[in-house]
Amino acid sequence: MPRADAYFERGRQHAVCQDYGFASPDGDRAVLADGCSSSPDTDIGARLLCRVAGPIANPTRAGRRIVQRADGIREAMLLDPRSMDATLLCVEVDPSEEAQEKFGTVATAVVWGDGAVAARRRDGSVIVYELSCKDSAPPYLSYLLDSGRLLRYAQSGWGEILSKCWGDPSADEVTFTHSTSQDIEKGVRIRFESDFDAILLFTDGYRTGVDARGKVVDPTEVITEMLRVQQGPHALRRRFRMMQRDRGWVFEDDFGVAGLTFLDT
Amino acid sequence: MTTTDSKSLAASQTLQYGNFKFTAVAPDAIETDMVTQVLIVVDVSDSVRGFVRDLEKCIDKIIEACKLSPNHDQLHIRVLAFSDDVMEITGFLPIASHTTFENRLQTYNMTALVKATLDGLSSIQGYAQALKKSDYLSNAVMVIITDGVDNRSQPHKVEDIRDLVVKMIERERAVDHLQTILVAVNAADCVDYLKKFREDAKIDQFINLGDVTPRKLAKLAAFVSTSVSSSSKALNIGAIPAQTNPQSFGI
Repeated sequence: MPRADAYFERGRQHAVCQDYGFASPDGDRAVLADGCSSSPDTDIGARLLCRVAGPIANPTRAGRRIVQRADGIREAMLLDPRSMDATLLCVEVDPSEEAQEKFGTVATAVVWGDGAVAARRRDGSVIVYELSCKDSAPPYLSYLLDSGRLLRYAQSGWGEILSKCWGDPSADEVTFTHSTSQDIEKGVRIRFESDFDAILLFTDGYRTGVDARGKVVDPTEVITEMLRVQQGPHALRRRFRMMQRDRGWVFEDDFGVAGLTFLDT
Repeated sequence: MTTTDSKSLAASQTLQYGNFKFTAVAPDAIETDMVTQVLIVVDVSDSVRGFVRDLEKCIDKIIEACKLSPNHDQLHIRVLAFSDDVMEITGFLPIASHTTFENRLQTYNMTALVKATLDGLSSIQGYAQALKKSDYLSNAVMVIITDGVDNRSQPHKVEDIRDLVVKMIERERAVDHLQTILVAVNAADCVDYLKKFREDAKIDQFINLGDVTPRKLAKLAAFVSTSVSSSSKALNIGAIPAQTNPQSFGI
């Protein structure tokens, strides 16, 4: 039986937390968003995207529907359209029994923007996908709502996403470009078909850790620490706090993590 | 038979640290994300027979006051009684599970103060380790209420307590912060012994309550519950709790 969980915390350099996470009470999906710091009210936008994606059918295939619905609420609130500028990450269990029988855990994660997706197998080994964008300018779903903005984004030469993977010898470092509406709507999809007991999503705040001496923390260490997540309520919050207590790390940017654990199965 | 929350009892397990066993709610059944362990260790030797019911009321008052604390849901309380031996009246249970301790304390002859203190500290350390494995932060407050000199703890020695405290705080560090309070009640003949015991065992605070009266025990209950509340608040904000001044409670 999977459990979903989400935890987010304001970064040291932020006045407002622009990350938000949502965990489905049914345990079958988790959603995470990170609002753009240079756009207004993206803390609200991040929340709206997550709260719309949470209950929507097939969220990993519904990028456009998610941002359109969230934007409808944004409009009613009279907020600036740019409040929808946020990365969005989602992981969803494949309910097909056939797939579960064949592959064990089957889940799909989609990243619209940047961040990381990490999974831990039952044997303790891990696989991590880190997605970073050129000039830190992710392809937001909100660009699907404004063709002018999408055009300017593509013309600026942005949309290049670097995907690094560790823990999977068959996966190479890949660079691809998401600057068309089709690509942005699709996002970066990662399918997990194996004996995993935890799949976690991270906003890019995990890269901004600093230790007690002010030294930058290796982001892969942050992910490795968080992948030690246990079971039970508030598991991600407990893991984050224990990590901070034991390692003395603070994060300059907002820290957002959400995901699924399959520890009871 | 006291009624306690059946869900918490069902989720209880027996743990061990060193030679001491104790019961506690299994970490994966805990619904908060951090725990303040509260341990009340009470002397039930023959000499307290005259006021054992008042001691029970004192424990009840501590728990009732703690239930009003803002972080009450993270308090897990264990009650030990000691005389000839050490008895676990309740294991570490969430505060909501506790009702009354009326008529639950039975007096016997002797005073196993050292063994009871060791038992209490061992359970705190053991539970903290189990909690930490499941990523629960924890801190602890232990209150020992006694009227006499140890005469039953062999082979345990007060140095064992000191060594354990040092191990807990300086080496193993499973518990974020440990606060210990020794309360002397009706102990006019052995205050000096208890003061020395406090020093040798590295106990943080010593309170000489003097002659027991219900009013003084009520003040003690208020002091203890304030200490517990301060501790649980400190755990939430990642701080070291400020030591509560017993004089502000008139004790």
